[in-house]
Amino acid sequence: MLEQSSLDSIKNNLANIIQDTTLMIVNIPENDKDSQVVSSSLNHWAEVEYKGPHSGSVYICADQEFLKAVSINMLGLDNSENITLEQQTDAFKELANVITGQLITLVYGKDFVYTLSPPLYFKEPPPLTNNSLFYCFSYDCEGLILRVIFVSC
Amino acid sequence: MNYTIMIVDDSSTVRNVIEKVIQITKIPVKKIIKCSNGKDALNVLNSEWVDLVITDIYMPVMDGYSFIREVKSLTAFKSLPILVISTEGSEKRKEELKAMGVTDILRKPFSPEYLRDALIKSLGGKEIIC
Repeated sequence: MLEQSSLDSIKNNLANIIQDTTLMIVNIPENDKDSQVVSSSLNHWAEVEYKGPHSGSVYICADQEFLKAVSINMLGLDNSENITLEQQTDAFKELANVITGQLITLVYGKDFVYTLSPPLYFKEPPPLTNNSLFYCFSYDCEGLILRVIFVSC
Repeated sequence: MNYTIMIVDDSSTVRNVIEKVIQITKIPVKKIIKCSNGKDALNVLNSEWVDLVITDIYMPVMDGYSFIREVKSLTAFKSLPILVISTEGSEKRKEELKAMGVTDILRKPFSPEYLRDALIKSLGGKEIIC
């Protein structure tokens, strides 16, 4: 179980990483309920599994507008250009990959070796069981919500 | 001299971002080859001259570790510079990669400036710039 001060530090560090990756201004919403993991409007999901001294998954979820904005920014495209669904999901999966790699070291440190799975994209919420320990962080990315769920089995 | 640079990453987003960064540097580029996994990259290396490889670690089919190990086991590629760009944060893994002969390791997310400097360093220093 992580202490609140550690969680706050991780959440803030992750905000900077998301900002650097998405090239969006990222804020931590004050009134967002972190415990509300599944939201009907955030129906795009990506997952990266990690294995090592601890194992689990990192999920990110967002809406279609977020995927579009992220792919535009990461690929350096103009808004007017047509962005394919494949480009959007690829950028979203890459964001999940970067977040997972960074989150693992923020939570467990740099002394341990973890292996990450290739990121998966899906449109259904994951089955989060009661046996899983999980933390949920929410970010406001220029008005679009990104949720990061860290699950330790 | 114009360089042939190979980018190996399963994400098309990352491949395109790296290609764009290479294009805005003043490094003279002859060709950029893009592969989505280590196996495809090995096949290309057996048929084309490459001056620098930029590779991810976590990829399907053949990951970066296996790819680097295979490349470095072949006499012809012993001195081929390999730059790793990955989310890898483990110090032990970084040491292993260095011991395998990797020139430099960049952690994602990376800035274009940092990548440019790593590319110049991997290709032999500032004298390579036009």
